[in-house]
Amino acid sequence: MRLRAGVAIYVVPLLVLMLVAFDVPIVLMLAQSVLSPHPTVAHWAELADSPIYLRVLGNTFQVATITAVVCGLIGYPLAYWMRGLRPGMQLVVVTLVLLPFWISILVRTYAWIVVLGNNGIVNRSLMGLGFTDRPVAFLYNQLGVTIGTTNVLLPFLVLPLFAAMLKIDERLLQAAATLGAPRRAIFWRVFFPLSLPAFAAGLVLVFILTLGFYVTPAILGGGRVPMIANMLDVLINTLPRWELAAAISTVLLAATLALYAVYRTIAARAA
Amino acid sequence: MGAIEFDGVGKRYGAVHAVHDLSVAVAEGEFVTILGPSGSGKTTILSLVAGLVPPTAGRILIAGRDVTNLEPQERRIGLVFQSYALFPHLSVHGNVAFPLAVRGRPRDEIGTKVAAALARVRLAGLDRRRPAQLSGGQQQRVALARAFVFEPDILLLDEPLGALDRKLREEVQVELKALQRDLGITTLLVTHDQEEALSLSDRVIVLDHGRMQQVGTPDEVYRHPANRFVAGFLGLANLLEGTVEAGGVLRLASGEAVACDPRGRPPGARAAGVVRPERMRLLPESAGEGLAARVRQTVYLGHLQRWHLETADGRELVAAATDGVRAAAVGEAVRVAWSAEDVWLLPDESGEAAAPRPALAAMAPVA
Amino acid sequence: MRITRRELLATGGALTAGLAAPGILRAQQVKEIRIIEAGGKSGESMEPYIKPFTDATGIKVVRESPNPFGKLRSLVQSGQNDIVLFELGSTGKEQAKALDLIEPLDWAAIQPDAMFPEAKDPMGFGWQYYSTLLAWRSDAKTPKNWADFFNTKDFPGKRTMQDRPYGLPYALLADGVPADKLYPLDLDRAFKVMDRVKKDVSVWWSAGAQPPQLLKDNEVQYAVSYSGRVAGQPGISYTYEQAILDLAYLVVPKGARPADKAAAMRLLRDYSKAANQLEAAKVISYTGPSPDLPAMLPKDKMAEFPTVHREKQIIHNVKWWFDNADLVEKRWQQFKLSL
Repeated sequence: MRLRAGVAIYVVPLLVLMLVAFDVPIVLMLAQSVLSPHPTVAHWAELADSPIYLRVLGNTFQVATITAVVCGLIGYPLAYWMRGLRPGMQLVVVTLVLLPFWISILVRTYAWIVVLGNNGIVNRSLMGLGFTDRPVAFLYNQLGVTIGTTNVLLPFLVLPLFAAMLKIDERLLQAAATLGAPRRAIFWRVFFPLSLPAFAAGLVLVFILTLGFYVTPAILGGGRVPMIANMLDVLINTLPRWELAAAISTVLLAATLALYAVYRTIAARAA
Repeated sequence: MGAIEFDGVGKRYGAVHAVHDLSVAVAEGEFVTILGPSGSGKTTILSLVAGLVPPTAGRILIAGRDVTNLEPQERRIGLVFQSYALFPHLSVHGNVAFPLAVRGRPRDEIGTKVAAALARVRLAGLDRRRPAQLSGGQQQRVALARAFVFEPDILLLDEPLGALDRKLREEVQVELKALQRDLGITTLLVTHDQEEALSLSDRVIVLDHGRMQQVGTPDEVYRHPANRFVAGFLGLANLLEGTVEAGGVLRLASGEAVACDPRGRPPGARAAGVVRPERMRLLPESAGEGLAARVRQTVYLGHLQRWHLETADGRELVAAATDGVRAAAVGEAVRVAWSAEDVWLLPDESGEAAAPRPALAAMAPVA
Repeated sequence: MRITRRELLATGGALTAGLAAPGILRAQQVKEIRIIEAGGKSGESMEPYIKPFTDATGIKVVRESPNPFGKLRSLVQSGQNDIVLFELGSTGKEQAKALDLIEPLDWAAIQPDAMFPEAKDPMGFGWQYYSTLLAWRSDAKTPKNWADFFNTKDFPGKRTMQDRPYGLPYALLADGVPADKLYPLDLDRAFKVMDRVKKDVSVWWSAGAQPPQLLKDNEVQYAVSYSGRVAGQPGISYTYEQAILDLAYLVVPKGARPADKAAAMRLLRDYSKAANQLEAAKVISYTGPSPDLPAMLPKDKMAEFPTVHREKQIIHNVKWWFDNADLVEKRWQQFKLSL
């Protein structure tokens, strides 16, 4: 990339700041896995010898995948529906989608307990209406985790996707119609492929954000759904084994970057 | 292939008439251009034909079929958007194959037809490219191939040449005309470029403020404009206002007499005559005929030379001639003359600005 | 290991109050000191100690929270010296000591009132006792001890336990291991008992607020809970029988400014005063380190407080947990993945 001198004056300090304040500390942190207390591969050997850590990592990827898929299944139709609204209504709905951002994640997590617990509104309604004799177990399992993470992360998928959908040229859809494409074909052959890069980006974003989730899986999962962030917390704050945490973080970062590379490849092919 | 009929078609957006009571027919195989300034409603007409917006009044028939309430998908039209609206995620092949694919045509038929269409627009071999990898002219030809590959009843072109540079535009005009003739497809083109309209069309519909001002062959609308707007929109026009006198004379306010064909106007009627610049001849000051004028400015256009003149009473006239004729310098006193048959008295006897009249619409030859 | 009354009193006995320390401090012009604590109600319960200190010395105390161990480590390793006191759990204090992150307290300067022995650590001031105990819905069949908690046949209902391995001693106690033979923990045996009960543990909690809420919502009937969270809660019963008694320490991060540290030592003297501890106990049902405090607590509420029941409880074995942290953690994660 070529930079003009005038631009460089503004950009270079920021790049240096990023490098010094962000990248270097990360590298130093990760380097602990091979340099602390002296150059060694012992921590990596321990990680390899302890399938338990990799299993928790795998479990985390599974939760992230489920969350991304559920967010996608809910978020895509939601964004599509929003695109068709009048601008005034769009503003209202965007505000509603954003509203949860203004409420602390902890409050939202506990709110789900009030709504979905054994004594919660939903279960009492279901039992009152005679749909079920005993409370449905919405919480303290994988379902609870998925509900919690989806609730928190849905806006991260919906808002960029909605913005991208608004940018899709209406004339392309009109062109498809004049060329004889039925509504379904317009959607699947034109609209969906054009929204795919933003959709994929949203899914990857949700996936990556889920990897770092902490409070929600711990509480709504009833502690039954081990996540890597909780384990890192233990390794950093309780044991403390920063070297091992650094090794696991390196694996996590590498996996995330690999995923990002996959996404870039898809996006480049789509563009 | 089929004709297009507009029967009292109107389109209102709230209180605004985008298109007002349009009744005109395009014959089968005919190339008709809708010409008008921006905001005149010409693109709305195209959208109405394509079914992208519903009319608020009247009916539209394509090939004898009332399509007024049909979806765009059902209208069998090929539309080339001004922006081309090529699908960016599909290759050239994918774009051109699109209308065939959505119709569920067999793969080998699609292959054959797409290849033929691409060959017809001289794009053979580029079928793997993405639209973003093509030049503007190539994109335009892809859009064209995509619009005719499925053999629609009619072809609609929305400012198809607008985005091309001048030299390319002239080339494409020739190609487009040849293509339309080969395909024999009824074509409705929308443009604000009068040269494009005149050079391409069998007939031109001139539009202003949503109302049709005139319809006719390029020659008719150029030489015999229906009103002041048409006269002014199709090239430069010298307007001479005065009173008709016996013996084929238009008496100007300055007192000078201009020879003309009154076409039945009674003496004493007020009238406005139009003389095209290229019909005006520049003569030396000593010449015995014509109006006295002074050269204010000269404009050299290569194939043409234009002189902006000012008459004794301060009116402006423009004369033009092919390059090579005697040049008059700025400030030089000249006389400017023309033949009586070159003066076209606007049908509107008062010569007032073009308020639309039912008489104008009635002039439109409905096929 | 149980603590006898005799041991408690060994270090007891009032010391004389501080001398001219406030004057010295003012001369050094310390205007404020910063401490990092656990936050929440526990943090609020520090005010009864801070107010008399500030009144006497004019030094403001700025509280920050939360207090993860990693924060202490990065503070010290990055060379900062702004924070003069840091709240840590008992195991955290051992780890900080091992990693050389904290420096000894100057007990001579503190001149504390009487304190329980484990609270008067060279490296930390044990300021707040808390218990982790057995609690249940008052309408459920009343359990007497951990054997009943782990007996899901005779005490049917759902359980909640902490999402950490600290509940393993309960499993061993339930399996018949005597309290004085608990350590070293027999992990195989403990996990065997855990395996037996795990299907009835519907929630493994990570926040102290969860157990009382889960009991109230009838999500679970029996719970392992922090004492302060269930004390005085209507509809919830609890017992200090075989509860684990632990305490939170205030430590001095290495490199703290000497003047600040001197002020902090003066502050800790106020932490040792039973009168202040009594005020703090009104904010939250945990107790300070004074052996005189239990007798001062209001009679009707006395049963709520951890140190009142010292003899029934087991003191958290910091050393064993510190020495075996890695091993226990791996076994624990393995167990969690088997759920």
